[in-house]
Amino acid sequence: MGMFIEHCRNRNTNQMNELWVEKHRPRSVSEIKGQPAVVERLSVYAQKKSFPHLLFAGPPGTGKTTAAMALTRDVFGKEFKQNLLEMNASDERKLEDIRNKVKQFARTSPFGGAKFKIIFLDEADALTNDAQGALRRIMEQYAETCRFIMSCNYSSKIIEPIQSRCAIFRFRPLGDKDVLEQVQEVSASEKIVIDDEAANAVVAISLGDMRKALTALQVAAAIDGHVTRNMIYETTATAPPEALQQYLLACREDGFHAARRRLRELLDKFGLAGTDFVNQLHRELYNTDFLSELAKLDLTELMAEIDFRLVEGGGEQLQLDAMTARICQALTQ
Amino acid sequence: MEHPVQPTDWTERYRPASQKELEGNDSARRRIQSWLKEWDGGMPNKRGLLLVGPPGVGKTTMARAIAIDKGWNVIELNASDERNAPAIRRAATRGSMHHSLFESYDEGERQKTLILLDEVDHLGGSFASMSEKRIHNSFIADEEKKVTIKGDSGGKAELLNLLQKTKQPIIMACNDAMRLWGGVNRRSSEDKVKKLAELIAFKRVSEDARRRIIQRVLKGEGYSIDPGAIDLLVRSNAGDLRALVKDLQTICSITNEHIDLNAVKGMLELGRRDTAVDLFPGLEKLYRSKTAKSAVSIARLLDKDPDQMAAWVTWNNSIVHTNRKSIHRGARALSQADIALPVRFTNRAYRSWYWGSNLSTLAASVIGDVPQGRLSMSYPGFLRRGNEPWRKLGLIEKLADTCGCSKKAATRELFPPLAALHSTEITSGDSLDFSISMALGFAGDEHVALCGLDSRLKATQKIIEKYDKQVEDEKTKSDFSTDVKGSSVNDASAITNSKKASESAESEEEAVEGDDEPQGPPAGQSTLF
Repeated sequence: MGMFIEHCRNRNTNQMNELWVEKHRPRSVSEIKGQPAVVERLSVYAQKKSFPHLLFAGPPGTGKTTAAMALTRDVFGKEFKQNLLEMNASDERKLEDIRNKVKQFARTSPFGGAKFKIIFLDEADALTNDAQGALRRIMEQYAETCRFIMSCNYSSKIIEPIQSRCAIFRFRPLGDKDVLEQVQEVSASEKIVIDDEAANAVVAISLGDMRKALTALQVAAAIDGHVTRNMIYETTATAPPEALQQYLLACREDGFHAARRRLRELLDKFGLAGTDFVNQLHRELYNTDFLSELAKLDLTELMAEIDFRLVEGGGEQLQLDAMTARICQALTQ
Repeated sequence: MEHPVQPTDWTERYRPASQKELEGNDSARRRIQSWLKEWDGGMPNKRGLLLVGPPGVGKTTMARAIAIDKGWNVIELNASDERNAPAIRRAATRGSMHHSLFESYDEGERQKTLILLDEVDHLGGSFASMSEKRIHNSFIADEEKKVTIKGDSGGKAELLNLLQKTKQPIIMACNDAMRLWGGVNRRSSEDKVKKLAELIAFKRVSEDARRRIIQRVLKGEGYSIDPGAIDLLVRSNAGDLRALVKDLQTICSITNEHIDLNAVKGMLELGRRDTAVDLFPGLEKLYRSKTAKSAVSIARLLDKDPDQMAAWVTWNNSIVHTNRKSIHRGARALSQADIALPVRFTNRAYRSWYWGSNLSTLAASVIGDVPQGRLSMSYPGFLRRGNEPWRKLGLIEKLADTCGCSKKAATRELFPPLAALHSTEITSGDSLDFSISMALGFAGDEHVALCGLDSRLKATQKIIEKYDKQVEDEKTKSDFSTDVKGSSVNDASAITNSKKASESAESEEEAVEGDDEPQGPPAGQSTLF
């Protein structure tokens, strides 16, 4: 970490002036990466400059907010902000917020000759049931002057009457290819050199989340204009998969002491907290060939238990030692 | 409400303007017709209608069409309006009590005003009424003395007041009647409303009606459609007409003049609604997956959050898995998931969701082989409203409410002895002895829950009927004796009655204590009453 800060000071840090996630966010529906089925339909809306109420459902980082903002821009052009109300429903999620803020905005007529206004409710699944109930008639009564775009992680948390008023778009986790493409494009436009295996590492740690990928890339690029695989893992506090596999292998082959030594090395080298390690180890667990599926369940239970104890205030060394010992025993049986 | 331009939203464009254009729910419509006839002759006994049914079957449309057909004015209050007691009083109750204010003369005939209360199940709060003084104070113009009232408090009580006093027709609509009654005093709230309003259930719209609507809309827009495409569209819709028209508009927005099977398939793939997502095939895939990796990737597409996932797997594991070892393995993992999940509240550690979902996913899949053939999975019973556990919960709430103790105390100290008193096995009690339940103000279904009887059985239903009849008889008796002055007086007498009776229940209990009760009441119990 010290090395990282030192580098930032020494370098002319124009890389850090603006977040790349924001800078390279698609401005138009046609620029969106991945989600081909969604993009195809949204481009028609963008072209016609009109659309029904929309509900975007899908995991984080799959482009729901991006799609909503891009569509808004396509429909309104440069002056999109005056006809847009953006609300994060996890901050303002009560009945009063809907009745006051949303209804007030919806009932006034659009500015500057626009045909309608747009209300974007981010994380709408955080709205209370009563607040969602209040939305229903607003969506109908002001449908002529106001369109809703809602985003949520789980559509089952949106009450049925609202689902019935919306066209629903399901966003799938981004494919590795989509993330890789965007990483390479951004690298090219920011004029940094990135090794192929480094680009693949960015994809691997992103887990289909574009925000994570671009942030990791930007942090690594702030250290050096030539991004390598090691830099990606070191700056994101992530242990590379082979190191985790080696730890598991050590548990099986070399016994507790060797495995513990390996674990300590990993924590030091990549600056991991205990809970980070447990989490990353588990993500690698499903890829391990030498474990039976039932053994994977055993270890999942073990790791969940250890993580729980760590969160509740258990000591890191002691808990991780206990985990290592139990993994050793499970693997040598 | 004539639109000079055609609405761009098709659901508004094709919203029926007259009752003649409505589709589906024939029997409900017949009952509404007879209610309307009563208004022609004067004022019916029940001045309100309560339309209950799933979304998109035409409840609001029905109310509007009635107003248009009859030439009535409409005042609408829905969940997007403030609906506490003063707000409802201001908007509806005051005017509705007078003929003159709300009725305009049109060609010599008096026109009524329909009061449409939409989404009444989203009225907050209970049926507890707000004091007249507070309501009055909220109308004061003087800003310093003025009382501001938050949320929907007193809204439900004012609803009853409105139903009682109105001289104008009232239509209420909601999806979930259970939600309107609320958990506490469910049965009595239900009775109160049903006495004043006719409850009419709307069902999901039939396939034939859905087909006719598709044809009508497409004809109006000048589109043609393949027979296969119309079949798929009809089948994939859950009887929600609004969703159906919305989907049609989505499809038409990217096709020209002709809809083929692929256009419908494309729309379905992208945006199935929850009611249309067939969850069970996905779950079955999950149960049949052999590796942890594939199980997790299937679970990700099921659109259930980790809490729901754990609930679904817990419920279905005991149905799907028959092997004792598998069940044990799954239960252990689920128990760990259960511990992990709430950590996000206590410690704001959101990754506990990760463990919760992984554990419950693996608890379904890798713990053992599942039988060949169709798996008969079902919706988790404890997520469903109105079932046995829910009823017991309502019972406990009521008990705590009546006796003025906490729910915990009611569960641990009041419920067991009361249940024991009614159990044939423990105290040779009699489920036909209604005295205690009636004294405590229980409803019939709560009485049988107390006796531990399965409410689905016919014999139990008979007991409920008998109980309710006896309660009704008692009521008429006390009505005669207390000289009816108004409902508030009646309520007060009911309370004193039940207080007296609960004292007698207590003494009865003490008498039984000697009968060797296994879950003997703790010493501190009498102080709770």
